[in-house]
Amino acid sequence: MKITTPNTRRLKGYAYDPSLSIQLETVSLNETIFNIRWEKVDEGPVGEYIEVVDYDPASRCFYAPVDLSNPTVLAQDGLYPSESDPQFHQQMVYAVAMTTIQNFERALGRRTLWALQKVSGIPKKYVQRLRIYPHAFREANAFYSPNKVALLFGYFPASSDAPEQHIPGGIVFTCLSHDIIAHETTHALLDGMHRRYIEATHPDGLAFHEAFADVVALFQHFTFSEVLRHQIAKTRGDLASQNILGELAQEFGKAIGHYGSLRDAIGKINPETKQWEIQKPNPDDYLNVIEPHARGSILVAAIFDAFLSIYKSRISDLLRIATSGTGILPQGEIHPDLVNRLADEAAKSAQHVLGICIRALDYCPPVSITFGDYLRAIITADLDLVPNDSRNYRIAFIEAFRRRGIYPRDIRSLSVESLCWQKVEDENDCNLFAELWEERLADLKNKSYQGSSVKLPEMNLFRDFLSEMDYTKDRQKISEMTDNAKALLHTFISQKMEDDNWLKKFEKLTGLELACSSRKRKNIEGLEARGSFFKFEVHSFRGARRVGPNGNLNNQIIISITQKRIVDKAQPEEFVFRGGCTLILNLEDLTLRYAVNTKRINDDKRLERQRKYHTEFNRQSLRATYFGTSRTNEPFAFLHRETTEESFSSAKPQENNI
Amino acid sequence: MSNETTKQNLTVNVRMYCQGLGDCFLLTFKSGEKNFTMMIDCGVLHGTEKAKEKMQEIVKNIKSETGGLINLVVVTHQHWDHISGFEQAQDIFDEIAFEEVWLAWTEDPSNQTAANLNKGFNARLKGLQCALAKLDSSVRLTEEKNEIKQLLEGFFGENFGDVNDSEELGATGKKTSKSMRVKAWDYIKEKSKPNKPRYTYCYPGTEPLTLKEFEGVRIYVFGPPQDPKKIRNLNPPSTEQYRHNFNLNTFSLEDSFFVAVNDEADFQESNACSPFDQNEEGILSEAEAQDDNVIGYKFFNDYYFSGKDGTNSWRRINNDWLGMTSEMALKLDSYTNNTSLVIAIELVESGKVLLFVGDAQSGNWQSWHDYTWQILDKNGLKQKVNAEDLLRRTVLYKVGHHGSHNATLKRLGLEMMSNVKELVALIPVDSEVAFSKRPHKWEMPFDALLEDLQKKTNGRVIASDKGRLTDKEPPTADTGWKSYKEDENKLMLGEKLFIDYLVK
Repeated sequence: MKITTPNTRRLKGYAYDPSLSIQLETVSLNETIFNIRWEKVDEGPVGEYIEVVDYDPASRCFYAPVDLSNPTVLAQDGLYPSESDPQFHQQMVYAVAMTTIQNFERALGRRTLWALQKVSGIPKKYVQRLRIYPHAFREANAFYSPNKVALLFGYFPASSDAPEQHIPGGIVFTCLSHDIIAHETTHALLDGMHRRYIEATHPDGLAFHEAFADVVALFQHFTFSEVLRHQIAKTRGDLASQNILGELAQEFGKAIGHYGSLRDAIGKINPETKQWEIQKPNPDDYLNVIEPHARGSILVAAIFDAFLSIYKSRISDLLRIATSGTGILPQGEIHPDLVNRLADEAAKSAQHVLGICIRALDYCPPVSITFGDYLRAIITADLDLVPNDSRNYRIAFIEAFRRRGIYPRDIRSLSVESLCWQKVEDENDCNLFAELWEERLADLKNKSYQGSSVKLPEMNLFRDFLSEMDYTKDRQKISEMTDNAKALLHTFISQKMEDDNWLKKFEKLTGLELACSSRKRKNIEGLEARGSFFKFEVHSFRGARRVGPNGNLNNQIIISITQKRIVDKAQPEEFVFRGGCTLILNLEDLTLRYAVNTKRINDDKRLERQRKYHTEFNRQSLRATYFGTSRTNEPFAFLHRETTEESFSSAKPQENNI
Repeated sequence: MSNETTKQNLTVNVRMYCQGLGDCFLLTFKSGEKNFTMMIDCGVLHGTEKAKEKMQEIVKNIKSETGGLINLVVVTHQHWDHISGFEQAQDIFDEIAFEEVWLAWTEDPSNQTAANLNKGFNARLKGLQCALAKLDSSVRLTEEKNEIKQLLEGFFGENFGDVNDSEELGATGKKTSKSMRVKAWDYIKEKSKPNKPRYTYCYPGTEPLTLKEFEGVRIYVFGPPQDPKKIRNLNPPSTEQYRHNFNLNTFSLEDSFFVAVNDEADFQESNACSPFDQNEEGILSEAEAQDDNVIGYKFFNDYYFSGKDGTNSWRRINNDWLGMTSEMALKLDSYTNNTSLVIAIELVESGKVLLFVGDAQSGNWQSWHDYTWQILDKNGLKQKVNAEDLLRRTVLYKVGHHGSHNATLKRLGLEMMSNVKELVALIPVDSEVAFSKRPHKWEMPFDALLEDLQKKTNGRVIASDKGRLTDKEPPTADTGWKSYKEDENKLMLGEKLFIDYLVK
């Protein structure tokens, strides 16, 4: 008899982090089993997406790699959770990182690719696996390194301020925290998709990276059914009260001297009263809070708020059924069956919200994202996939964002219609790409293609791309196909630009500036020209195949095109100003559906805002005084170091330095 | 009464020396026939051109101005740019008598907290020196290393880690040399030539100090705060964290880092700070992991060292763990700045205040507002005074830390200095030197701060490098400007030696 390979690999791990295993209330929940899609795993673990290499340079030693394929290990679902066994640490990072990747792929409808390896500063080489170093340094920090395409986790002795939570001086491993691993993995996933988002051009930029990473870590909590049921029972179904589902990085938070977790989406411990308090949304926060993590937490709170509304509306009937119509639960514990049903709804709501948040990434502008852009992307993405919003998910999101003062800059009213990216209505505009394609195809059939080394597609660039992607398991091939498609599209557009009519329409639609000599135009500072056109980059080329809840298919090609200007060359500090747009093509008829063009390259107001951001906010730290503001080397390392610093500061609100 | 008239004539000449990025002030109080001289700090940034010559010239000027006797020497904190003169011009100082020396309470030998702080401080400096040496071996991190070096050497002088306390000598039996900073500092604390000064350790919030045999002046000590949390605003450690003792089984993050950078740490120490027991199986030394013959460990060769295709180097993390060095250097710098002795000099009769803040950062500034002082006014009535009152009456502000962004507090500081008619700001700075730092210029003075200073002083901002920082001629009615005098004649190596400002 033929034995088929199993669907999943079961691996033991902590649902949160080791600190929950020494508390009686949570000890039984904390050890969970991660179900990882089956793949061949070598020593390391080294799989398709991840390679764990356990070097500890501060201790000058290497920890031998775990072999998850060893029958003894396999038979007991991996090694037992243990702080003192480095091999378990390797297993833990593998399990959580893979879980995060799977959630991502499920929502996006395609295989994920990591950022490319930079060769003399330019992203060039395909990187198959994200590298993970579980013990990279002695520091209360962990970060994603875009340059190494690697996650580096630190370990550190716990602060002796809260000895009841851990042994003072006992070592805290960031690589044993589900939240931290998920958070860092998400940074890597997001960077693989939107590599410009790590550029700090706006207070929202790095904050978005942080917030998004937190959102993924947070909603992954709801996939742990034991924890979920326990917390539902404990809170009697009210997830807006204090519960560990909404808390992030508890052990880390306490170990660096916080009273509670590092961040909490629902509320926080008041440092003076030491009591947990629900966080009230303040519409001014978005205006005033600049530090990336704090600013990011506004977005996290908004998304969590939307989740709570959705969950509440989903369980209202259950509560009525359980309470003979009153909807008010009696005192005491609730019925286990009700707990199970509520947990199901919570899990479903969380999965939906996470899916919406991840899918929205395809609808975001390629550069300088703001929270307002993201709200618009969420609404549009959801509208595209679920035209009939019977459960009012979209309203829940809008409401939650509005309560925190997060508005898109250019919108007059906060309705679904006005928030949705504007559909491309004009028929000519819709067909810009179809036209582009057909002409080229005719050309190509006649003469051999010259001018670049790109491989010719047999039929249709866009359709070929997506269908080939479906059948390709090899991610390297997908990456190569993407590069090829980008180069091809660049050539096509370049050639088509000679057609002035087409070009005008294209420029208007995309917000790019392409013609430099053919028409009179004011000089655009710092935009580089090639021939009689300004340079542009086909920044990304992605396909997505999604199935809506009603079985409706949604096949799209997502293209983003960007340009850059180097401005203030005469000033002491020049900087890069980018513009670009994301184009979403309907694959059925090759029509253009949306052009996300809020980042026009000649937007002087946006340029001014970026300049102001550079000069005002970026230089406020002591680091900025001595070491400048360039964060090119390890952008996330310092970001995270600075937070740790912040959290040490006294309980009083920090005085604003000049 | 005669006493009354002398008080009315009390003036203070504030002389700001122009040695570059560093502080040296000579205050001459005059009241009738009586004189009182006070020197606040004496130093210049490491790496300043002709630093020694400049400091010598300045100290010579001080000697001739004071006739070889300074009534009071105030040293704010241990940074090289505030004390280098005590080493560079030691021979001249040997000929100048100090009647009295005021230091912050953090130097008080009888204070246990102070002793702990100093121990921690020395250990950190030493650790940072080791970490820098490690960084030296990395080519890739050259830029980062140079930046850190620039910061640490600039403010702590050369060989800054050689702190050589006697205990250390006893423990290891090894003799380490003293850094220049330690020599300068020792000179201040143990001055014996030509006489021994009287030492006062200043505690914030205590009864205002007075000048010896000179009436009409009250000096309030604002800082450094006694709450260690406020000194180390960025990282308040519990007292344990200063303990550098591994037998206690508790060690701090910094301890574990310092052990890691110290090549001379013994196995027991290293093992105590390691995350896993180094004797366990499956823990390979760096040599073992590279040895292809050690069966089963080919893995590291493939994935870390040579690489299957020999292209692993871009992903190695040999030195990333040293990235913390810059953070610790910044913290130590902040800490030292926050230990600055801050004094508000009140001229009793006129109520005017001269504020000298050293390089105090936000934790220090915030703490001033925790105190109230009780004094007797001229009618012999008890009055309460707090920092806000004194800031409101400030007519001369010595800008902290050469005008950097983080050493002048806005809401609890500058905004309270509301005497627009008289307030003048003195910035000891050399912006050319600061801006020339590479790869990143130091923003000294910071433009946003400068803008605010201009507003608060109605344009009376004086920098030691550029003099008056205003284009417009001061209005003739402007009482504040009348007493400004740039020293035109006395040149120091081609530049001006000092700027005088008279407070009447």
